[in-house]
Amino acid sequence: MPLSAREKISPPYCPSRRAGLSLVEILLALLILTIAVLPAIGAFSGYYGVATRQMEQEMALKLGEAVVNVLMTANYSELKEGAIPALPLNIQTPSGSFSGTMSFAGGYASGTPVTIGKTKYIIGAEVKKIFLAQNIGTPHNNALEFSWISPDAPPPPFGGGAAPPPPPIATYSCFNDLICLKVTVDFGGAKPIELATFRADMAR
Amino acid sequence: MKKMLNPRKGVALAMVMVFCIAILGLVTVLVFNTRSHKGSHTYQHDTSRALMAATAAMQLAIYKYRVLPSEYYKIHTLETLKNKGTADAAALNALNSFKTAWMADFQSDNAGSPAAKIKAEIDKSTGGNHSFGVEEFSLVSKAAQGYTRDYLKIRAWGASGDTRKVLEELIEVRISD
Repeated sequence: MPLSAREKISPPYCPSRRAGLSLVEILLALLILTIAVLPAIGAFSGYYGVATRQMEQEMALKLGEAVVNVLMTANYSELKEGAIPALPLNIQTPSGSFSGTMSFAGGYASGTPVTIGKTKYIIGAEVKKIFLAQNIGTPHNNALEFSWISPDAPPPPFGGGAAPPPPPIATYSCFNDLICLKVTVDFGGAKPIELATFRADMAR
Repeated sequence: MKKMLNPRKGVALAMVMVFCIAILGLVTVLVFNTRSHKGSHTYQHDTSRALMAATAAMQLAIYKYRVLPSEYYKIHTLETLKNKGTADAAALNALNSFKTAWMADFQSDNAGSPAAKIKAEIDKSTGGNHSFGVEEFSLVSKAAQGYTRDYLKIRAWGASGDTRKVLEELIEVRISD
């Protein structure tokens, strides 16, 4: 039996109408892919945002620590009185060496803004006296008071008999103003970095 | 012939579903990774704050030694006797009492101590929850073998949130004979 032209070209097991994918199949596939890819794009963008914020926060923390170190080594007497006109800030950053100043106005200071990449870091500091020097003439309760057990033996009880009292706790009121240092680094994040520590007068 | 074509039906959809599952798997990994990174923000902040708290404890300890050196030397003398094995029971009791009283000022958990007042101020300034203290306060004397000078060895710790940092310093001191 002679074959028709169509039967000669197309094999009987693969007719041409099934050689490709239908339009409906492609559209469905695209729709499903879109549904799957959209959250992926969202997750990538979220991940990038978190990574950027983390980098900014890390930089802000490093700047904060660097400023605390500068304040810890500044002249104590001038620092506690807010009498430092400008404190030099020399900080190494990933963008290179940064040179700026901390300008004091009383107990508050603001630093030259540091720009690293697209982020601007605004540094602020506060110096607050938390213990005031004791004054013999007019004693007060705001002085730093240390205590220790006096090794001097307590006097024997009058008349004997009773057990001797425990060694007395002696106290010493310090004659220095002692300060708390607070450094704030604002980098446009939700919450600025705030670090605080205590500094004692080591001059004596 | 039609029956032979059936196995090819829906192949594209099945492949797309496989891709989709792979993509969703990736998204899940990313989301969990992002969450753990968010946790590391707090960790970094707490680490710096803990370091600042430890610095505060260190400053307080050095300052106390500077204003009350002779009171500390009494403890050191008793400790030397103990190390030599020549301290009697009374001396050992006295050493424990003196040392406890000496160290009490550095622990922020001791209500009314200078450290507690500093902690309150730091907490108020930063809105955090710090604690700090001094673990070791000892004098490394040149009398001990191998040392040519006297050193004050202070190990202070600071904590913020769940993060704890330890700071150790060896400070050269001169003891007048």
